[in-house]
Amino acid sequence: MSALIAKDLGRVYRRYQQPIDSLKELIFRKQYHEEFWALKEANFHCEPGEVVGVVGDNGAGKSTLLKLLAGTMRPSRGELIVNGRVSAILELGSGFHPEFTGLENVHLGCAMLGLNAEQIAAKVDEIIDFSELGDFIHQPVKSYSSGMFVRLAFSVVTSVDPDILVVDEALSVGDQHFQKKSMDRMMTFKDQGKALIFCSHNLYHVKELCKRAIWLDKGEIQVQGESGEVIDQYNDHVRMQNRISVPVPKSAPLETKAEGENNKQLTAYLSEATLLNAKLDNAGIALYRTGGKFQVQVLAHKQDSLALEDVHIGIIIKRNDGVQCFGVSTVLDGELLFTRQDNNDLGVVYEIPELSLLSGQYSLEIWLIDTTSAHVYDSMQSCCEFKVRQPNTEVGVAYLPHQWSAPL
Amino acid sequence: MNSINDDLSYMHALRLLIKRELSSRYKGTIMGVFWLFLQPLIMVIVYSFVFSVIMKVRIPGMDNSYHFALYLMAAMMPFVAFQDALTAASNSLFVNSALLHKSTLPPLLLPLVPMLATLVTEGISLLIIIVAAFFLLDQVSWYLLLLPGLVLIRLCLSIALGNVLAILSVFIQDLRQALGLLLTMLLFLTPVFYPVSMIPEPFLPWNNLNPLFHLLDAYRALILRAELPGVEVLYVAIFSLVMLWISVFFFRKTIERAKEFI
Repeated sequence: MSALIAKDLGRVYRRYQQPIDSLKELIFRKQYHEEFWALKEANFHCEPGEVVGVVGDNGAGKSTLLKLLAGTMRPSRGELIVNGRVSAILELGSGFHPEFTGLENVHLGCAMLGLNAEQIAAKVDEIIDFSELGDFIHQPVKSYSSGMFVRLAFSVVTSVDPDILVVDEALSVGDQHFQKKSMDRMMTFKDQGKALIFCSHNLYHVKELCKRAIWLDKGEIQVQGESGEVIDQYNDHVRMQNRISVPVPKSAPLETKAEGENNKQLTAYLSEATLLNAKLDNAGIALYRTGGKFQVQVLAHKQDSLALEDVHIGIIIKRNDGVQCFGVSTVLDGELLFTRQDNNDLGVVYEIPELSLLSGQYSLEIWLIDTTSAHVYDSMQSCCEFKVRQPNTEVGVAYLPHQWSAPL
Repeated sequence: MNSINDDLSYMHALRLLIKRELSSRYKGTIMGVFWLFLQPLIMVIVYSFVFSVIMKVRIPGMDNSYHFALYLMAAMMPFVAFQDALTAASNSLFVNSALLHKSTLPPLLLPLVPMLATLVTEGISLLIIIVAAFFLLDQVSWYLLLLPGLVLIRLCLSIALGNVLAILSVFIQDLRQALGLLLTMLLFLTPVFYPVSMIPEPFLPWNNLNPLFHLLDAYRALILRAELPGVEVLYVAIFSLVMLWISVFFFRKTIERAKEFI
């Protein structure tokens, strides 16, 4: 039996000119509002013992989703089937009464999770102990620092033996020591067969902790599935938004530059750049594995006036956030281009035998240059778009060869 | 929609909230819990002094000089509880927005907590009046045992109106401002400061429509006249229960909408 099933789950926020309009709407059955769907048609499930991560930009609907799961908000549409007790730690101060002391909030928090007086009494000491709040437990929580808040909230929600635990990024407020402690407790939960829904901006965390992940974008589930793949796709999306002014990549992955009028006035021009042996993903974008072979063929044309040595090709691999990952040219490597049928038809295949790039979305920048590298005959920006996927969870741009050995 | 049964599983939370509601009033004070007694006690003393010693107000049929003060208090105290309940209810959703949005507590409990807390203050006030009536007027009777019934009716009526007010205050911001004025008007239009016999004939039918009049008069009957209240109080009880049922329905129907504005 699934711990949690969401069917067509949706939540709308309604904007009214004035509050009274909402009441009029109820009475006169006439629409007075503008709608904003914070969450649309979300379908997913979570099994016992499974950790599901939720990622997405700000305003993507993560908080709305978690509030629905936690039961502090009702869905406007669809259905949420919950098997067991849900316990949630949402944004700071969730469920706490600011004027109450920490201890009063412990009692109240447990009571709201359905415990009776004796059950609470039996747990209070353990909760205070885990929160490490000491004497501060007798202070009103409004005087707490955000770290203290989270420690107390986490201690309460995890002490009531929930079947489903919903954790917002609030947890990242705690210090390293407490983060470790809370992670350990969450992992114990997982091992006990409880379901965890986990939301974080720390994608590494999500990738490491979660088996499955959901990427929300503009209120809709963009992708869900195996967490590594979901996070990689989300990362591609994030880098795209953070790019350092790169021209928008052209959609066709394997492209050809048409021979136009302008090209004839150049003394040399690029005619074609093609990714070789590329697998295509569902969206038709070339897909490589980290460690696999990467090949691109570049063709160019020169005029008679130019010698073969005068024309060189440079290739820069750029990630979609604008980071130049690696760039090299035939000038630098002391290579010459190859001629084809005609002496003026040039070409070369650029090969990386073991592509060390990690997951990401990349494109090429190809330059046709002279021996000084200073004069540019022609260039192609953001062409040959491709994707790389890595098997493991290393972080960074590229996989660097390395080894670990005993200390000296 | 939660059923009443689901809400009952929050009994312990409700107890904690009420305890907290009461203790917050005197927390940090030197007199502590005595404030709960001190407030009604001082009111009784001041009213007695002003109306009986200084103004010497007499109402036909009352010989004892303290009679008017107690006559006034016996109706005034339940009214104050009613007034406190409504005022607190109309603020309850705003004051508790944190619990409303960030906890799974049934929203219906939020106005309920301060309204239930008025039971304690009303109870203490009535106790003081009963004791005063015994010592000053030599008045005590078995009918006093019916008093909890009246308190219960008063509470039902308060909750019925309170639930509706809590919601309407969200949609109509002016209501919170106007409420104090409306309650003062109600206090003066209900025979609390004056006996019903002073109301001019043409206005009597209107007065009879006021459930508070019948209810407050029943308090006086039990405490001061040692007699059974009129049958009208039963009508008030039924009216309150029906209103209570409607108000819970209304509250549940509208709370999700109201939450959007808090």
